[in-house]
Amino acid sequence: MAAACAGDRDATAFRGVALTSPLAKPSFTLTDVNGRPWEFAAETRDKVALLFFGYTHCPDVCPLHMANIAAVLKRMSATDRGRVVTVFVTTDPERDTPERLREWLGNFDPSFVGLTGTRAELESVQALLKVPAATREYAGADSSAYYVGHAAQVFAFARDGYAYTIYPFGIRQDDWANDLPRLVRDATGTEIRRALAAQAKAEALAVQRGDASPMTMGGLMVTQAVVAEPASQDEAAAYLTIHNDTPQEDTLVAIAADLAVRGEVHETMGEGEMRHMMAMPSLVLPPRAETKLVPGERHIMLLQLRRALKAGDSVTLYLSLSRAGPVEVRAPVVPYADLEKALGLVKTP
Amino acid sequence: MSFWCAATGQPWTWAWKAYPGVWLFIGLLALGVWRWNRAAARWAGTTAPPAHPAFAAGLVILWLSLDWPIGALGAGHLASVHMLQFLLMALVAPPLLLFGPTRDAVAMLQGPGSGRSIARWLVSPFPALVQFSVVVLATHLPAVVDTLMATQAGSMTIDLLWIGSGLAFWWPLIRDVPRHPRFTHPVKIGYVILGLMFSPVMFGLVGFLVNSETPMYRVFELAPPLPGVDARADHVLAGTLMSVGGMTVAFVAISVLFYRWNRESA
Ligand SMILES: [Cu+2]
Repeated sequence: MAAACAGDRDATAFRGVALTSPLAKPSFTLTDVNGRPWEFAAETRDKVALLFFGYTHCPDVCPLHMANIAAVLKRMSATDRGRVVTVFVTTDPERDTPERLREWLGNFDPSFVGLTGTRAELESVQALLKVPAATREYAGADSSAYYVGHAAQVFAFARDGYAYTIYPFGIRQDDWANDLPRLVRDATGTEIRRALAAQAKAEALAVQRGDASPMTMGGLMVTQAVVAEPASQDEAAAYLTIHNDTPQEDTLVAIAADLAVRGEVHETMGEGEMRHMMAMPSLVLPPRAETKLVPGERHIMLLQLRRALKAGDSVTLYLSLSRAGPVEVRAPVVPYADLEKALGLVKTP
Repeated sequence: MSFWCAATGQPWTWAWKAYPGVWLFIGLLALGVWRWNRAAARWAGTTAPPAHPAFAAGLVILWLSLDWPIGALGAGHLASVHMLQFLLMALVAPPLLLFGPTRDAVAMLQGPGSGRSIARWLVSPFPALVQFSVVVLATHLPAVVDTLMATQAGSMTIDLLWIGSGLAFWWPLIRDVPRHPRFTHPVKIGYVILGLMFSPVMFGLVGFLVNSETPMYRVFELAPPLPGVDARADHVLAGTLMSVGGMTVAFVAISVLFYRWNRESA
């Protein structure tokens, strides 16, 4: 289990959530607070680039990420600090004027870069990072007062141009203070890759020993996770229930598994002949509610299985939630006949 | 509407909120002491005197520390306000509240019964000092605070522990301990010094709050921020409050004890 919730964490471990495959730094150009074009890839070459999508009227996630990063940077040496570029891309260009962006970011750290653009430009940048496009959420009748639902994680691109880790909401100053200096001091990414590989190995061992179990994090709990024994060598369906006991909406943004190359959330659409499955880019978890992924409705598909799965095996699922961060859960493989019972859909006498 | 203040993760607003659990608790406390005093008066064949003004002051302080806005800010927004609540609930309100029960009411504790003997044991000096230190330490551990403050029941548990533990701590200083050898003034002064003024537990907590580079409590670090408030500065202020508040209360208590000692030996 990565990061913020592990009780006994290894002092050498990264606290950010390790991406299953490193993400190459995207190339895009937006407009900075001085109205000049700002080329992300060129401006952040050989630097650690912290990239975040947010909005200045945000009551929680955005100011907290910015304040926590600023606080940790302040305590780093001038040399190390100079190797970090923090980039805040607005998802609310109508209200976040360049002046407002400059002023708001300046309150945290005057070196923070604020970027804006047209709605289309901003959406295409979010698409490059594969985060769900930000949406407006109106709280009441007043059309000028609205929240913006946006990805809550900070992407950390290492100096070699790859993001190996992301930092969801819930990451603390202590976590940044642990990870940032290590990102800054590795020009080639070699040490980062080595450390993350060792971490992944230790996690896999913990799973084998059965140390990892269904868990809760930040008011989120995953229960009744099962994988249906697949008929195919190639893919399997997984089902689970996510309880979001927090007052905020969360979003399931990514799924990975130890025994599959990829994981996706699928939705069954249409009726009869037209019935088909469609991958969903993300799954919204409403506040104070449980979201069930059950057969015939929304479910998880594990694609490109690394080996054939039989009843009695177990698969570790890694869920990335935009607010709560990473959640890891062990799902036993059960025969189709026992599926409903395992999911608690039928009452056993 | 919430029963008791807890960390909700919601941004802070100055819009008033009702916490009926707090009113119920204050009401029950006032009613309980009133009925205890009446029962004691009947038992002693006297009439119960009106409420002591110090008791009323203690109730008001307790109410202010639990209700909106202090209660709500301290439960889920600011470590410093949470610390202010601790000072009010454990150090300021209890010594005032202890003027509530009449002499006859306290004398009733001398009777038989296991409930009474547990109560007598709890308010005798050594157990009182030990339980107070344990409660102060436990209720300030980050894992405990971060877990309990997220729910109303958990937040209420912390508040009630502070109040109960504070009452037991102050009891031997303010009231006689039934069936216990008299607690002399010099020993009382030592008790205040060890439990409050130079309490190793409080010194340790203050040290962590003031010196740690990163904020100690997740619940306050990641709460929706109040404009212009920095999480670390808030934690440093919490530590400063604990040390200054503890010292001030201890200083006042020791001064009163010295004064009484002087007067009695004169
Ligand atoms: Cu935000």
